[in-house]
Amino acid sequence: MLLLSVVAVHAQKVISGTVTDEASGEALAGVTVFEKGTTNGTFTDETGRYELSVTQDDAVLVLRFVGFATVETTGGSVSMKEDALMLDEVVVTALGIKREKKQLGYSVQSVSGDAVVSSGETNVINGLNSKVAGVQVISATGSPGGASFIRIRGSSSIAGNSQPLIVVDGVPLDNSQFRSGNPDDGNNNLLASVANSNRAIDLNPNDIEDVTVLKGPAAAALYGIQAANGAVLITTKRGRSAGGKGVNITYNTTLSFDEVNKLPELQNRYAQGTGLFDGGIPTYYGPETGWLTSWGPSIDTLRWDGDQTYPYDPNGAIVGQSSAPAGAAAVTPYDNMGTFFQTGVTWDNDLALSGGNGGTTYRFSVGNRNQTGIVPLSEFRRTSVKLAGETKLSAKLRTAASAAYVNSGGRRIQQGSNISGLMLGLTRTPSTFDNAGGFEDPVNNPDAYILPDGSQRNYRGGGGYDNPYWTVNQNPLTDEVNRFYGFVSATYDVTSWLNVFYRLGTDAYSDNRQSIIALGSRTAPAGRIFLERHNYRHVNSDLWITASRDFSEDFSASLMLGNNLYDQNYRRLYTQGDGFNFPGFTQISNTSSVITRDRLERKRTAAIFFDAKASYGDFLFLNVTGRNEWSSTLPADGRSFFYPSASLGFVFTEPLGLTDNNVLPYGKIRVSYASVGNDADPYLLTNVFSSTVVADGWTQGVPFPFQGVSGFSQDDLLGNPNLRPEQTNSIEVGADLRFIKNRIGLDFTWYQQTSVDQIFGVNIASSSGFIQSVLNAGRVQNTGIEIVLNATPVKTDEFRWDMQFNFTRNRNQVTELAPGVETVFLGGFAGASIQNVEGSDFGQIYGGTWLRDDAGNVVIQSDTSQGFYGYPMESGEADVIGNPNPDFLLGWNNTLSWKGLTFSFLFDIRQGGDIWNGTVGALTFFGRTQATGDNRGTMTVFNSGQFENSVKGTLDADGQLILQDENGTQGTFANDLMAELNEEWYTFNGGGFGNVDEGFVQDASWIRLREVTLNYTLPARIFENTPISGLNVGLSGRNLWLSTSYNGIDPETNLMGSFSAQGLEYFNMPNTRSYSIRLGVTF
Amino acid sequence: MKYLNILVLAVLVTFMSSCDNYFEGVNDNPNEPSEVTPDVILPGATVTLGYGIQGDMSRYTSMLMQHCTGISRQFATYQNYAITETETDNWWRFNMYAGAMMDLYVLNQQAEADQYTQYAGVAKALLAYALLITTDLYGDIPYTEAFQGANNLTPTYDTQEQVYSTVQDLLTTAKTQLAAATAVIAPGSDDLIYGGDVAAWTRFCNFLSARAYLHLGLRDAANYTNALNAIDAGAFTSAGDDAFYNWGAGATESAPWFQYIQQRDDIAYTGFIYDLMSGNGDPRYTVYLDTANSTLGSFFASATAPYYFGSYVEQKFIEAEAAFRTGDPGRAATAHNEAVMASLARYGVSDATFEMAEASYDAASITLDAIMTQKYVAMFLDTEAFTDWRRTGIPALTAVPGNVTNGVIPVRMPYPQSERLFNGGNVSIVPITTPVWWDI
Repeated sequence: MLLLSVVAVHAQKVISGTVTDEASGEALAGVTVFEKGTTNGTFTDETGRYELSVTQDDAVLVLRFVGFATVETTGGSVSMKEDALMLDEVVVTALGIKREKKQLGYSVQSVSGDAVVSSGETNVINGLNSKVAGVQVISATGSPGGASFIRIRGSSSIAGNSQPLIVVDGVPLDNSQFRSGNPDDGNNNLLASVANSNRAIDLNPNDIEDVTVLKGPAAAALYGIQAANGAVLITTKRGRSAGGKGVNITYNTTLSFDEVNKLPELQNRYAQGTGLFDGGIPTYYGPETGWLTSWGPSIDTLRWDGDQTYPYDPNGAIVGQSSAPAGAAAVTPYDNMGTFFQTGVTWDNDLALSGGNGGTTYRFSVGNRNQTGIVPLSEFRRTSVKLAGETKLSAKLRTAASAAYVNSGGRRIQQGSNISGLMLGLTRTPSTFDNAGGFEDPVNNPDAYILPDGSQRNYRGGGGYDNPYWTVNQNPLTDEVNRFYGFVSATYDVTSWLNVFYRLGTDAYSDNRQSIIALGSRTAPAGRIFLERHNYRHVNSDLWITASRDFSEDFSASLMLGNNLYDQNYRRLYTQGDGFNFPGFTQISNTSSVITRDRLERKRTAAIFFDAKASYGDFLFLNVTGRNEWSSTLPADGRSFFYPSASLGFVFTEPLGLTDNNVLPYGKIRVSYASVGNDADPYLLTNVFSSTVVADGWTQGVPFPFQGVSGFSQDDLLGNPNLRPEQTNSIEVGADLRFIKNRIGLDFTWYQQTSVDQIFGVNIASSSGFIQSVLNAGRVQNTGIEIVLNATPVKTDEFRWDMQFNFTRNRNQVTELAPGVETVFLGGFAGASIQNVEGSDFGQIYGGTWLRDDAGNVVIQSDTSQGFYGYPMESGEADVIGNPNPDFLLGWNNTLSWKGLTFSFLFDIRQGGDIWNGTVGALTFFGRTQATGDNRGTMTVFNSGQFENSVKGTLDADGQLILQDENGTQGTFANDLMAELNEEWYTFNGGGFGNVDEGFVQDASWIRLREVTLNYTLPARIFENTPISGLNVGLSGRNLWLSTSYNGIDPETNLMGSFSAQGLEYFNMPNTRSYSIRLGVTF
Repeated sequence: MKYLNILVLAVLVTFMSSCDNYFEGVNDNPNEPSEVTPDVILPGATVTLGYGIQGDMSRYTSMLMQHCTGISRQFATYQNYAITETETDNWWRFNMYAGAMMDLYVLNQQAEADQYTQYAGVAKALLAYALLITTDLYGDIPYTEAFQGANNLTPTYDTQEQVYSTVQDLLTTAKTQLAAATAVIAPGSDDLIYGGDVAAWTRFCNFLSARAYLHLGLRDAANYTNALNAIDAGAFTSAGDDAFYNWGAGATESAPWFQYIQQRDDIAYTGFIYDLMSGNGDPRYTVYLDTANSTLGSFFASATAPYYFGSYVEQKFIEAEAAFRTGDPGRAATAHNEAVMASLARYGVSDATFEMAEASYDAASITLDAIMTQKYVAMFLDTEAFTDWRRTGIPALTAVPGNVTNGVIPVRMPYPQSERLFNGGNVSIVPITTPVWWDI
């Protein structure tokens, strides 16, 4: 109290002035004006004017502006000079604190909000793709609202989430992707159902000023456990004084068109049917037979009989040439896939008002985005409203607040491993069957997919898979999210060197989903509806006390002490009704059996921390932090854990006196060490019983209650009362070098990050009575380099060409699992799955393999009396069959500007990384791929490609491998046996439903033109004497060109969405290419 | 700096003292109980057991026994005997060990501790049933060290011989416990098989004991006598004693075969058994096969089909075989005829010619071939058919064309992938063409 009253008697002093650009003489708006040694500050207005109440009589103001050299003044008119080296670039660091990049001892990288907007992506995460070294972004599908996955410097968590924390204006923002479907089915929901959103999609890119990626735990130590995988810090736009106008108005509108960019190639030569039943002669089996594959006769031997009463085709039933009536028309193949997709349209409108005076500023924005997808009837829409304001209540007390409301959601289409899935039915349909049934506009005409008797019209006579037109109409999942996030904060300057900051932030939303599987759908022929309510809320409280002091001309230091409290609450209510009593009324009241599942998860953490900084001579910067955290999810006597970090930045060009040198005027090296802990998920400490759910591998099974009786079973998870916190240690070394007056900038980072004591469920022998046990075990190591190379090859007065290369090379290794555990299942199928395998890279593709001899050669069956003589043999065992981790990622961004015209293009190169192409595997079984059309019936020798160096052999009666040739002569013989590529082989191990999965693992390398943008800002003089102050138009394209050897859909895809298990493709929705036009006006 | 030190200290002290309240109860699981009563464990275990055996395992063994044919997708592959460690993983883990068997083990322990004697008896009877089926399919299996949770994550394997002796021990104790004075809490409507009828459970124990003895006949012929003794000790006396329950009419209560046909349908109802039956004029032919649609007959394919844990029909066949093998063809013939008639009666069909040929044996005419062939027909889609065929080789089946096992019909299931991966030190991998211990 004494302290406060002493300060209060000081008379306030106001310093004012104007700031201009030295070169042009024009006023500079938005310059930060700070009272030196304090956090007291303001911005210049549109006329370059500033006014600041200072706390010290001898106050000095520090003026900073991006691209200009920092200036100190005691008031009055100041001119600022452009700074070619951009050394004063300010970045956002942990807790939303802005710091000069120069001072940092660790690696961060920023992307402007404009760059995110002009990418045209709905999801801010996608907008970062290829723009930041060390960051990998994978979007799940091209479906509107589909999730995207982001990881920084690889995955560090063996089984858990490895995505970074998303922070908006200093407050964590939830980025969960909640799966849809019966919670009893667990991970299987990720394989089927629809593409759900990751919740960062609720951010309106137009509200974003800047995105900064904190790559390692050094940068994130102050956020604690939530940032164990790095952090993406999003700063939203703030209000700006509009000078004399009162208010700045900005309006942006964008119209985009999406089309499908890549599809698997299908054959159109052979009809539905098989040779299995007719002595090997391919015979047509039409829809009424329910036959599933396309191993029938050549289509050019078939005729339509012209029977107009035939329900499956207005051209009549299909018959052979010889039995066709006179004049019967030759059958022409249908291109079901080619005619199915449409052009998706997105319209985005955004209006922002901003203004203020002296101590108060505000910004209000409204954004609306409406998107229809390439799949008919798929939609996503988002409306957001945001109000942010700051006000200065007194010279010492400043407050800020921000509130945003978002309404988002859409209509999503069934996909994946799901017999109602769209691509499944679409691509399996034979070329002799028209999914549209000859009707125009089949999307809107039920006659196309419903027969007169009310049953479904599809190529398997009502069995098999849903007709795609049925799927999009009858089986929608709709979702609606209502979300509020925001904060209030206050800063109080106790003295010129001490201030107190408090911020209370929250993020709360409800996500309501309704999924309908209509009566007669294949997934649930009796019909099904489920309602899902995800309620999520967290509250985050930050208190910091900061003291900073310049001890001498050269030495200054600061210390921050902080407290953080975090409370999270998630509840999921799931109600499923099965069996519609009558069609057409799809409500839960019309179902014959209802189950409900309710789950509440709570978690609390608390932390205290310090952040100490010292700098010497403006070239040596030391930063030490420490944090102690307590978490509710750990055992009561072991919930406290401490972790430290230290970093050092050294601008060596300064003491060496090189700053005036032209070759290397700026060079900094940095080194850091950090440790960060992590807690467990809730409720892992004890064993429980759970409501009994019975199933086998092929059916949906029986959930309890059963016949009115309840059932409980010992839960499959063995709890662990002795869990300890996880720990990740990282070291990072880097250099930031600027050459030739900043025409070339090179930022190089090497890091190694080791995560130990991980908490995860490992599969155990079920003979123990449990399926999984929660353990502290394992070691995951990420080692990598990141290179950001900036260059300006051409720079004249009017023309400028800037380029940036972002290179990422990360080696993500699981060096240790738990004792006795060789693999940890992350997700996937009984055949191909993603597993962590000790001693291998993270998240390997795991599945059935070919039989190999000791030298690793594939063995070809050489015993003539055996089935599949001349074909490769299966090992009967599963092993690693592919590595989804890329060798490197390279983004190459170019910006050419000439007067008001800016042209930019971004190439994205991904080298290496496999995907299991389950789609093509299955379609090979079905005889639908182009290859099975081209090579059907041809003879081959299995000795090239993955069968290179294959040898002849067989198994003896005991199952032991004997290498021998077809005459029984033992020894190693290279394979030269001829084998026919035919239905028998492709429906066995030659196809995707056999026991061998490795045949369908493919390299997913690509080069793509990810973004092209042309922007034109009209010269300001045109608008003199009009209310308009600026106008720009832009044209952009996304994913315009793609080169890859992957033969399915666009390999930038992932069946399970934003989940560590990457590398599986199974009837995923295709990706898109888009074109957009944008108009922006400011008043 | 002095102020700062005090401040830090103050924050720390406040923090530590309020910590406990702040975290109080936050990590208590509100979603799942840590303890439950016996009447919810028993039905869950019963249904888990039935669904697994009549689901995955019925399909695999029925394809091997040519009761049906896998024709498309994965099932076309299994049809060629390419049944690998991944195919049996679900069954072993979710239906048996961490499924029904663990629950029955827990139920037995809990019931013994609380002296719910009848629950302990029923739990043991069903556990014996589960162990018997599992060992018949795999050979050596874990039991003595199994179900110990964190205390033993890698249980050793008991030999099949040990497991068989465990099965008989469990049944003996079960009978004693079932017969004890009724405990405060005893099975009732939660017992989906017998509705809490302890006498019925005792009959089931004797039936199961007979089945287990029969399996070991090849090892020691005295077991055939043991089997007859078990039946004579008081087993099923009519089809009314059968141990079964029906699947439910609710949309999520359907039988496993119904669900499989609706949701996958990769199996056709063709194979040796249909040729055999149509050749014999067997009236059950049109019960097993819906001849109009070439689909599985509705008795088996309906949503509310039954699952039989044990039946009078099977017991009569056990009696016939055991009597035949112990030199009592008269008893064998009578039991055989009764078994066939009971099987026809289950489906409400009859045919004089067929009955004359197949259910009218006498001491002079009865053969092992007749008994085992008719048992093969009667145990349609039942895993027991696979065990009988392995023991007797009757009927003579030929390996399917295109098989990947050197023309040998598999005689066991492959140990699941999870045991190889997580209990590799204890499981010894055996090819599926190698017989189990009793199969000599």
